[in-house]
Amino acid sequence: MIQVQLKINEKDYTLLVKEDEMLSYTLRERLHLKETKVGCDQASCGACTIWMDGTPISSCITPTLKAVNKKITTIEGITSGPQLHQLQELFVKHGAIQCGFCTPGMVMTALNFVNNNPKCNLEEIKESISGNLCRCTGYKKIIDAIAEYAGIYRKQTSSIKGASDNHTVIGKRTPYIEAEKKVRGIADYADDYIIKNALVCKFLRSPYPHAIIKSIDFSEAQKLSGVKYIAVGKELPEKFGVLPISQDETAMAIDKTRYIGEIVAAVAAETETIANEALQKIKVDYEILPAFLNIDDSLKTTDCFIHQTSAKHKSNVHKKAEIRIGDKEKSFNESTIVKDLTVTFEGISHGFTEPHACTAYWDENGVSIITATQVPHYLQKALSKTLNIPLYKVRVIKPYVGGGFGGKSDPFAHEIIASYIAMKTHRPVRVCFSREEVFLTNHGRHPSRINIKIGTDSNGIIKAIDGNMQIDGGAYGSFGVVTTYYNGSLLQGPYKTDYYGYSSARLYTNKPQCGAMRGHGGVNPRFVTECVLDDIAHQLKMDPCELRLKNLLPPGTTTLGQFRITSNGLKEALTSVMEQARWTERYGKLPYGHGLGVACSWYISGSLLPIIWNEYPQSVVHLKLDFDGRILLTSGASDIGQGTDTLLPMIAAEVLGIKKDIIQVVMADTLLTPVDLGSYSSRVTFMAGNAAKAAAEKLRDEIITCVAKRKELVKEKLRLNNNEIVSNSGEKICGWQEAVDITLSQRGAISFSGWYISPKVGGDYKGAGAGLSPSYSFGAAIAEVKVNPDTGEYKVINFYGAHDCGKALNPLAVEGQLEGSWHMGLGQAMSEQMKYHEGHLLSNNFLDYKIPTALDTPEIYTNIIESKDPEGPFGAKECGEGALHPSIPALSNAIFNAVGARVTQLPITFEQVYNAIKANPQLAKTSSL
Amino acid sequence: MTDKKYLIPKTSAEAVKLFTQHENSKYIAGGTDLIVNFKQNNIAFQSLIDVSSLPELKTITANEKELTIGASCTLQEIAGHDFIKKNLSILKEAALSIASPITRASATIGGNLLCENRCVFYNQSDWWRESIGNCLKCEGDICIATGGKKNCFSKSSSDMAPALLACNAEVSIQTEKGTKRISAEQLYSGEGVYPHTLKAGELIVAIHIPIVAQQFFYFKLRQRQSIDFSSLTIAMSYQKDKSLLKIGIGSADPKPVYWEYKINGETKFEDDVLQKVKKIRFVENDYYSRDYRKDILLLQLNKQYQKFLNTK
Repeated sequence: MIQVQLKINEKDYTLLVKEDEMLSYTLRERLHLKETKVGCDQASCGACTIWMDGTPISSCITPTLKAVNKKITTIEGITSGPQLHQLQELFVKHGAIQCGFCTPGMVMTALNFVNNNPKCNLEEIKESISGNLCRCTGYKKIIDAIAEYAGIYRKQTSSIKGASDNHTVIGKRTPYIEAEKKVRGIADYADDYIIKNALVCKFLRSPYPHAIIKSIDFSEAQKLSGVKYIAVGKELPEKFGVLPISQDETAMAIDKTRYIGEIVAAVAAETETIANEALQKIKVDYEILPAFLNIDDSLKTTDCFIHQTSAKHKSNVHKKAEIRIGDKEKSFNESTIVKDLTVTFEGISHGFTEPHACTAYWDENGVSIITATQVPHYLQKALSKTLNIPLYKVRVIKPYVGGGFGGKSDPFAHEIIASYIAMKTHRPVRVCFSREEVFLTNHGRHPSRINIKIGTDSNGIIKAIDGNMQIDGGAYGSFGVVTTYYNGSLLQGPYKTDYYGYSSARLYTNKPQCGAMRGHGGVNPRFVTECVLDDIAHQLKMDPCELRLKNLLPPGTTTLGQFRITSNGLKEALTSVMEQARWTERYGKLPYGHGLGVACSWYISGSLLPIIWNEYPQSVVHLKLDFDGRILLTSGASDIGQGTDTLLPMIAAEVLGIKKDIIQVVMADTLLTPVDLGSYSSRVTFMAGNAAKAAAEKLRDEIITCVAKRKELVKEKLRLNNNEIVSNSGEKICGWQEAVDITLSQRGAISFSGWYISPKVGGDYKGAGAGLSPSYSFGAAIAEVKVNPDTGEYKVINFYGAHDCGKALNPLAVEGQLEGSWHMGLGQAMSEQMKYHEGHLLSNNFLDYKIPTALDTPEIYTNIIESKDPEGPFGAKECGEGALHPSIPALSNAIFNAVGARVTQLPITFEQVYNAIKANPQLAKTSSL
Repeated sequence: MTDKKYLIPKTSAEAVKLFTQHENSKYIAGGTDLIVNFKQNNIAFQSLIDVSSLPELKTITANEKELTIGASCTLQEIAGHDFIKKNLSILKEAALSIASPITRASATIGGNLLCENRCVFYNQSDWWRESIGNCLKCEGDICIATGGKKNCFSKSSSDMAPALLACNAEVSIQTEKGTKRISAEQLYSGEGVYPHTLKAGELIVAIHIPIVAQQFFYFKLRQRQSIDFSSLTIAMSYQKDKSLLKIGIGSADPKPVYWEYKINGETKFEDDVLQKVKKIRFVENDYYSRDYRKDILLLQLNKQYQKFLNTK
C-alpha cells in the first residue's frame, strides 16, 4: 500500500491505495463515491467513465496511481451547486434515463465531447457515445438530449395515434420521479449500499460441464486468517426454481455439477482478496461425465441424464408440449401454397448493464436481502424454502435496479448463499458479480431450432400454421416449461387461421440455464413465422404488407386456442409504419442491395395466471393518507427502469384529482409493501395499474363522502379537481388540506387497498393457460437496410416501429420502452450471441457479447397506437416486451428484399449474408463495393 | 512479496533505466490494452513505468520528408492532427477505427503498435483459461483454436500497424545504449506467444512516416462500428508515380503482414495476391470464420487494385 493524494471534484483526499489498484475501485470502495458505476470492469461498456485532467477515461482500467497530481472529475463534479447541469436536465426532460446505470458515464462522455466540439453534428454525437453501452433506451432519447444541449435541430420522429381525452396527469410526458437522482449517480443500486462490517462472498465454480463431485476439501482454505465461512452444496439441499413444477436446482452443486461455471462452494471472508485466495485453496475431486452440449446431443437416446427426471424420455428432454387446434391435414390440403423454414438461433443474454449484486443480513426480523431483483416475491418464497425459515422471516428489498429484461426474475443461487451465510454468521454478506459471472448465470433466451410451416390459399389467406421447436434449456428448469409452451401458443395470433398447432421440446444441456428474456418464448417462433409469410408473399407476387393486412385478427374476437382479444390496433400500427416508410411507393422499386422488410407481432399484457397458483389478487396497491396531506403509495411492483414508481402515482393522482407530488412511494420491499407478483410477463402497468386505480377510487370516494357530510352537501355533486374539492359546477368547496383534516377527523390516518384480479377466461385443454392474458398488445415494424452484396456487410439505416399499447399513460416512458425493445431485437438480429466452445462460454464480456452501439443503431421512428383497452387502466396495456418481436424478422425480410437471400441462422452476421448470397449465384447482380 | 511499484520517469532514457533497475517491469502509456490483460491475469508485473506524459513522446512534427509521431501521442490526437488528416489520411482512418472514443482518448500509437496478440481462447479470465486447459500462449502445451497444433496463431491486433507498414514507417527505439531506428515491420516476430521483437527495457519513442505522393485504402472488418477489435484489417497505399502498391494486413496472422507489388511486373496482381494470402496463417480464432476473412481479404484487395488503376 502507498499513501497518495487525490484531487477529486476539487476536493483533496489523502488515503492508502494498492499500487495496482484501479481508480473505479478507489472511488467506490475506499472513498465510497458510488456515483461512478462499474458495468464490465474491462473498459467495454463506458459506465465508469470519468475525467482525468479533462479527458474521459475508463476508471475501471486506470491505475489510481496514474491519477496522482491530476484533476479527477466524476459526475458529482460537473455542477457546483444544487442545480443539475444543463445536460443532466436535458437527460431528465427527454427521458434519456431508464434504469440509469449507464447514465453517469454517458453524461460524462457526452458532456466532454460537446464542450470540446461545440460545432458538432448529429453523426459525431452518435460516434462520441459509441463506447457507452445503453441497454434500455436504444440511444434515441440520449441523442435527443445531447443534440439539444449542442444546439442541433433533431427531426421529430415520434407520434401518438389515439382519441384525445381530458386527463390532467395521464398521457403527459413525465420524467421518472427518480430521474434526478439517477442522472447525478446517487440513486443506490444493490452494490452502492454501504453496510458496515460486511463479509465479501466469492464463489468457486465448476470447470467441467458435467461431472460427479467426489469430494470437496476446504480445510486449507479455512485456515486462512479472515475466512469466516465456507459453504458447500450439501448444507443447502432444498431444491428451488421459479416454477413449482420444475424445481431442479440447488444453491450449490451437491453430487454433481451440470455446467461450466456452476457454483460448487462459497467463501465469505473479511476482504475480497482473502476470499479469492481461499477459493484457490479449495480442492474438488471430480469424475467427469459425458457432456450434452447442444440440442442434438440431448435428443439422443442415452442412459446418462443431466437430471434423473429425464429418464422417462430416455434422452435429456426436459419438457415436451404439443397442442393442435383445428384440422391440420385438411387445412394444409386446402392450402394452395405451403411453405416452411427452419431457423437456428443462438442464445441471447439480457445484457443489463448492472451486474447482479446483493447484500444480505440477519437481525431480529430474520434475513433481509437488498438485491438486484425484478421479483422480490418469488425470491422471498425461494429463501423461505431453501433456508427453511417462515416466509415472515424473509425481507427482500429491491433497490434501484440497473436493468432486468427477465434476467433478474428468477431467485438466484448467490442470493440464497449470501442469505444463508448471513444467517449462519450473523454478519452482513455482500456479493457483486463480475461480468463473466453475470453471463455464466445466464437465464437468457434459449438457443433454438424452429421450423414453421404455413399454408395459405391463392389469395394469401392463411389456412394453417404449424410449428416444431426444439429449445436448448441449459442445465436447469428456470421458466423453461413456460417457454416450451409460449414457443407454440403465440402462433395463434396475430393472424386468423383455420388450424394452428405445434410440438415443442425443451432439452437439458450442460450449459448455463436459459430462462425468460424480454418477449419470452414468442420471439424466435415469431421470427420464423414472419419470414415464411414473406416467402409466401414473394411466391404469390403479393405485397407482404397486403398479405398481412388480409389476415389480421380483428378486435373483440377469440383465437383458436380461446385467447380473448379485446382491443387490437394492429391494423393502425401496420398502416402507420407503411405510410411513414413510404412503403407502397418504394417497396420493390429500390435498387439491388437496398431493401425494406416488414413484420407484425402481438404479446401478452400480463400472464393471466400466477406462476404459483393461489387465490390472492394478482396485484395489490395500498394508499395511506395522513395528517400531512401526503399520500403514501406502497406496492410490491418492481421498477427496474421501466417507470413503475412514476406510473402508479400518476394513476392515483389522476383518479384523485390532486398533484402527483402529493403521492409518494415505497415500493418492492416485502416488509413494507403489499405483495405483487413482480416485473415479468409485462404485467405491471395492467395489473398494478388497475390496483392503483382501484385504491385511489376508494380513497377519493371516502374523502368526498366525508367532505360532503361535513359541509352538508350531496356527495354525488362533488369531485376532486386540481387539489380542491369542487362542486360539479366548478365552485370550490374546500382545499386539499381541509379535505384531509375533515376526512381524518376523530380517527387519524386512513388506508385503502386496491387490487386486481384477472378475469376467468380461456380454454380448458391442457396448456390452455400458457399465453393467456387479460389483454394483448400488437405491433408492426419496417426495417430499411443497405447491403453490400459482395461482402455481405449491411447497415440498417431506418427503423419504423408502431405499437398498440392501449393508452400511453406516460408517453415518455412508453416511447422509451418501445425504442429499447426494438434496439434489443436488432441486437439479436445483427450481432449478439452466447457463443460456446465445448461448453465454455466464449462471449462472456461486453467486448465479445456485441450489444449494438449508438453507431450500429438506425434512426428509429416511434409510433404509439392507442386502441383503448376496455379493461386496462385508462385503456393501457403492455409496451415493454411486445415491440421487440417484429424487429428481428423485419430486418431479415429487408435483407431478403435487398439481395434475395434468406438467412436461416441468427445472428445475421455479415458472413451469414455473404454465404447466403454465395449459395445462390444468380443473386450477385451488381456490385456496390 | 514486495509491494508493486508505479514509477513516473521524466525522460525516455530514465524510463529505460528504471525499467532495468526494477524487477519484472512493464511500460504503461494509455494502459487500455495492458490493464485489461493484467486483469485477466494474462500478464503480470511488479513495476509499472508510466511513459504517457514524457514530453519527448508527446510531439507530432513534420517536414517535407517525414512525419514524426511521438509514441505516447493518443489515437485521438493523431486522428485530429491537421497534417495527418491532409497528407496521411490512412493514419487518421486507422486511428478512428480503433476501440471507442473513450479508449482512443488515452490509448497511444506506441501502445497500439505493441498491442498484445489476440485469440478468442486467450482473451478470457484466468479461471476460464484454466477450465479449458491453458493454451500455448498462457504456458500450456497446445493451441486450442487449431485443436492441438504446437504453434500459437494468436492474431496481431494492432490496426495502426498495417497502416504504418503500408506507409513504410520506421520506429525509433530507446535502448540502454541510446536510440536506434528500425522499420516498423521489424517490431514483429511472427510468433503468437511472443509476437514482439523488442528486448526488455526497449521503448518505442517515435514513429517516422515518409511523405510521398500516394493514395490510400483502409478497411476494417468488424461486427460493430465501435468498441470491437478487428477481424481483418487491410491497409493499402498506391504510389502511382512508382507503380507501387504497399499492402499491410492486420488481425489475420500472428504478425502484421506486409508486401509490395510492382504494377506491370511479371506476375498478375490477382495471382500475386493469391500467393501472398495463402501464406497468411488464418485460423479459427475469431467470431468470423477463417474462410470468410480470407474471401473478404481477396475480394477487397482485388477490387481496390482495380480502383487504384482506374484513378486518374
